[in-house]
Amino acid sequence: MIAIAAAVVWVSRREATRGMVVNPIDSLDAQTAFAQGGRFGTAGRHVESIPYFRRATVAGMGEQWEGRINLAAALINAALEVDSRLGKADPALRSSYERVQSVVEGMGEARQAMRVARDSRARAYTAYQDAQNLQAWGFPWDALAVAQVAQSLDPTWEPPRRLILELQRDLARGGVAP
Amino acid sequence: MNRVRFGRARIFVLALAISGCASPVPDRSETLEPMSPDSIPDAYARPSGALMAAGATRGYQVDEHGDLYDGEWKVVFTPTADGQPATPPRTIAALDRWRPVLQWVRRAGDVTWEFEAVAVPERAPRDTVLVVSLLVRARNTGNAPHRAELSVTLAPPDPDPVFVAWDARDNPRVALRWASGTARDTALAWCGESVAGATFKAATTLAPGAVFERRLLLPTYPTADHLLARNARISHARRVSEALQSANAALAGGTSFALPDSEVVSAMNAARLLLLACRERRGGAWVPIGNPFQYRDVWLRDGARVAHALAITGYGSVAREMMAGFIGYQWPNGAFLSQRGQLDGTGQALWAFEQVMLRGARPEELDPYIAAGQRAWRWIEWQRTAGRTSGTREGGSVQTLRFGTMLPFAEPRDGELVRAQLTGNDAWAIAGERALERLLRTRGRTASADSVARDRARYTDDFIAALARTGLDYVPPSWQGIGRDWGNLAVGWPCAVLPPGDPRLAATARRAWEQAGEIGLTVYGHRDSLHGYVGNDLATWALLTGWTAPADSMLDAMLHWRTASGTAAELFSRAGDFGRNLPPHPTAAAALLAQVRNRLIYDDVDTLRLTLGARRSWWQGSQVKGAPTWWGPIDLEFQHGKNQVTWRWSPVPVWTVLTLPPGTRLTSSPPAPLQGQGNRVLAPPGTREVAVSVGFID
Repeated sequence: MIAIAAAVVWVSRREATRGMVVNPIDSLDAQTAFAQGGRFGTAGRHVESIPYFRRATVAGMGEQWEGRINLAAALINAALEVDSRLGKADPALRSSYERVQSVVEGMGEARQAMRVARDSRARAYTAYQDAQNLQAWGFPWDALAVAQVAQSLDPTWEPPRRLILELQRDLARGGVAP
Repeated sequence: MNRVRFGRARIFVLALAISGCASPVPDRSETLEPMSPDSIPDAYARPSGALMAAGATRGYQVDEHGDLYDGEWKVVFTPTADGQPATPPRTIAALDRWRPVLQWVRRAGDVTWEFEAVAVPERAPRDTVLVVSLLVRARNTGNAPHRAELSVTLAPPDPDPVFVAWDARDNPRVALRWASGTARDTALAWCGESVAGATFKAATTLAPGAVFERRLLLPTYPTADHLLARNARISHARRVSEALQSANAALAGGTSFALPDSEVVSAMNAARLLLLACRERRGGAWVPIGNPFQYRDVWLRDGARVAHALAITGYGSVAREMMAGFIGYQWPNGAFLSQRGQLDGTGQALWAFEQVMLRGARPEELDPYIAAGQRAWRWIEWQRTAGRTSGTREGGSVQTLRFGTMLPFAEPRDGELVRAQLTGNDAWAIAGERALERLLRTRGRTASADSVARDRARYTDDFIAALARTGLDYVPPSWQGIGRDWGNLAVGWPCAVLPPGDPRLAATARRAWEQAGEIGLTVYGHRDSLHGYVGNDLATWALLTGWTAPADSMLDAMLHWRTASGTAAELFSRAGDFGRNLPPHPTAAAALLAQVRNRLIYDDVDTLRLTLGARRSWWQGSQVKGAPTWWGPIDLEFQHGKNQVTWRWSPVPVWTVLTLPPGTRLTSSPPAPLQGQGNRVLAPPGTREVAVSVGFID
């Protein structure tokens, strides 16, 4: 009786797992996944880099600033990526719905990156990236506020200061070129 | 009449006859009346048709050559007679110019090639796919026999395609394969027989009067052979019949507009079916797409108009599903944004929540939208605070920003097509705050509503002050005065930032119409670029001032600029060339629906206004049933009989303003408690019927 029950359990488990497809990315270790994500990201293939960076955070880099900030960047950059399909350049992501979802998730990852940042430069970099993202999407006041945070986190780092000046100039002119 | 069929086709007819016994659906396969799509007008320079369905993630465009394209592959038709190629179609028409069955005709000497196509959505979970059922029929209209040959080729897209499906495969490209009954593979087309290569050919000699038919199935995605074979068991005629019945059922599910104006009713039918079809699913929510082809994306600026149009014409549940999709566009800072630099999205989303949710949603359904709206309101006011408290150092003094109380600059890459502070963004933000206030009051949250109301009042004052600082007597596209007319045209309606009688609104309209050279339709960027819908906001504003001529002109233009399937393009030359901006455009359909509905029933204030712009012909006797309003669904009947005008409507708890037919006046004061005011009659809350004596104005 016990043997029959065990067989039923074994068969039903086998049935349940049959047909399940394992994503090969899910078997990568964190460093390998991170390196592959980096290769795609460097090539401007941000959408393709996302699952690798996601894997890296799951496989051990979730508490490392590099893991989180690169996933954040991949998600944010993917929303701006342009892809050529059948000879036509179009956004890489399907629609604005996916693009906004991707950016919002990326901003969430950036918050995680801020949490695990090891020093003030890393924290400033995280805020600076957020400010650039807000600027790119058309939120100049929000970008300015975050750029000021970036500057306060590391006053010795030049990029936030330059971004602040650029945003202040544009806001004062109502965005119109001189 | 002789009919020539291939053996396989005969088998299908037999199967149909059996299945038809069990189904009351009329089988049109026995109807061999010549198709006459060319009798239906098309305002544009070249014909175009759309085969689409709600939930499907691709559609087929029927192009001016009579070929089909789904964004990944083309289906190229080459019909001939005695070796002579058939002409391209003159029109690609929907039955009655609105029903979802397309027909087109191509001619080769005495042989007429008729095409009929209908989109059949697959059942869930495959409902992202649709399959086109297409019937090709050759008819010998001459007195001598002719050799008719049909060649249908699966081909890659053109080298410079107008649109490409988001999920089209580049490498490897999709196999251009026809379905074969026994193969375990996927195919792009089915014709009922095995085809070697990408081209299916059929030929026959047609005696005088004879007819030859072939049926094809064209899925929008590669589909398993056996699924196509199973799909083919249902005849084309039955597919057509089902599509017609489904369209009728869809229209019956909304407000009924029984007007003695077949053109308007037909246009509204086409518009509503288009809006219902241009939707995609995202999880449990739905999003409105900008077009089945080149604008297969989501813009809040278009989606808000679409949801509003659906909500006011009886499709509240569909519109509410879209609002769930809109929630996905809220950013962590509280703003709503769908495309880079389009800051009008925040106000538009809040306005849509109000317009949709306050017409039929249960009170508790409002709460998530109120919560989202409050975050958006805080973002708007934070922007204004940042601008108001910032300044520039000039010499020894600090200068405040000239338009610091308005939203910051934006570069929408659309609309105003400029980088500046856009007046339309502020107008929409003010409309959004008004919407939030109403949502809060509906839930009894008076204190929060009062806070929003105070901010809105200050914002409106700041808007008017900023307008004065421009030194202009009209509302410019941007506070800096540059850009194309776009959001500034919405300041009077629907944003209601300024009252209808404000002279700056009249000046804005005059300026836009002067650029167009006519009252009504407006142009975009160039005098020869007519815009299909943006001028409708001015037309509706004019209607609210009692000036019907611009609305009449706009409605005439919207009725004129329709394809043979009853839909409209967004932007086109006066010669009707829409270039690569393919119809149908849902926002144009939304504008038409909003205008007609507002002419009949307008409830955007605390008063119900009936027959605000009812055209003369509608007064022969019109009925509207099941129109959603702030006060619940209402019915309306109105008629102009001999020297008397009557209205009957569902009573509402607010005053109703009744507008007399065009060119008439009251011949005596209406009996109390009714009040006469010029060409209007005011009826107190609870009134359900009014009859007044009128005469024509000399």
